[in-house]
Amino acid sequence: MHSPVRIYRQPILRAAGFRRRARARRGFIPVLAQESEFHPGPDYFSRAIHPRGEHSLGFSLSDLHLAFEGLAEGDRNLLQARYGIFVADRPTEGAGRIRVVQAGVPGFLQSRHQERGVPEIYRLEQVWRGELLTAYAYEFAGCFDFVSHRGQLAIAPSQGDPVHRAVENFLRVVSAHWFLRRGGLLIHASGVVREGRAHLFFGPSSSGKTTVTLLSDGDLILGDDLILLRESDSGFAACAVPFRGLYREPPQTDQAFPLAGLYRLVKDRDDFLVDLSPSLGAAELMGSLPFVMEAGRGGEALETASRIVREMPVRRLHFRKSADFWRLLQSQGEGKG
Amino acid sequence: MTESSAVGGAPRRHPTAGFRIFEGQATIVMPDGSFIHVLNEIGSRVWDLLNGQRTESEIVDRICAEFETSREVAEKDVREFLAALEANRMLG
Repeated sequence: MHSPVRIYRQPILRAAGFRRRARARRGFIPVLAQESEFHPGPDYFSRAIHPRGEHSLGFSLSDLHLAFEGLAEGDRNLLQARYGIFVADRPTEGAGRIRVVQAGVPGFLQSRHQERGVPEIYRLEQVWRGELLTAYAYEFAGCFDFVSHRGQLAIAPSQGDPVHRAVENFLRVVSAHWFLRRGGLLIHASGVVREGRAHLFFGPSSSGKTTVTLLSDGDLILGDDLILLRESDSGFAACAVPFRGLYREPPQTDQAFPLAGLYRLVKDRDDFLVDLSPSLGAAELMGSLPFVMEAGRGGEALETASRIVREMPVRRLHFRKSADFWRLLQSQGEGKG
Repeated sequence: MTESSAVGGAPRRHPTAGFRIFEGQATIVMPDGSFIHVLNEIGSRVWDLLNGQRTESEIVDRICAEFETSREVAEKDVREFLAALEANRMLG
């Protein structure tokens, strides 16, 4: 028994990585500022009806199948090049449909550069009306109905490559909610497949996710930013997603790999593992979920995280900038098939 | 404690709070997702008891019955804990 008793509220996860602003830094492609701000209301998408072109393209990520319609030829070519094996000329039968249209407005959100001395990296608003999600940022506004699987993506004129940013950022949001509703999670993590099993490394920015992939020579890298964790017949499995920074190559596989380990990264002077309690492990996982927490879906995320940590405990991996941490994982039987 | 969160002296968890208790330790998330709270064993037990039907005094009784502590300490700790929950808008 406990003596003396202290009722203890433990805000363990108040580290910067769990704050809304920090989350907003993750999972996005940066964009230049707009000059005015427009918040699309419920009737906006019935007014924005002019397609960008006559082309279409299928997109598939696990069981999320979408057909983008109304693309200009250049849009389609760009998306084909970017998404590689995740796109096809012909959409999968029964795929949801997203009409890509001209925004009809100069832009949506306005970048608040240097507000209170903190530069804004990327801001995205999410509004739920029943099962209809509206997400909008600087250069795009999109909606997706999670019942009919139909949506619209309005793209405003912008500097650089607005189609690429708009499609990708909209897809990231839709994917995060899509998989959450199916018992999966889109996690801000890096993923490495060694001997057929996937190791997921997560944590806030600068915790070492990319470093870990660079220290995994010869292994299959699923990604160093976002990884899909979803349930399979034999438990949770990890998949690559095609979302990434501007210049990296698309993933070479869309295969799902059984989960070997979940590690919250901590840079340190030694390599060692610390077991986390299920409650802390779930909390750590939830702190690495883009989009869904700030959209009021924390309860659903907690349910999924609970199932994950029951199957695969989370450990804190303290590591140096050396591949030696793999020996540690292998000594624990976690690097073996 | 405010009157709204403890009507009749029976505090309750905020109805929109999502939580799971794993091996006696609670993980709590509020709808805005800004913070994830992890409680220790005793805080988790108090949280579990906050069903809007037990008074603060009854909760203290339960804690005294289940843990080795004096009533004086338990009263103080429960009161402080509830105040912290209230400050974080976790009661409703």
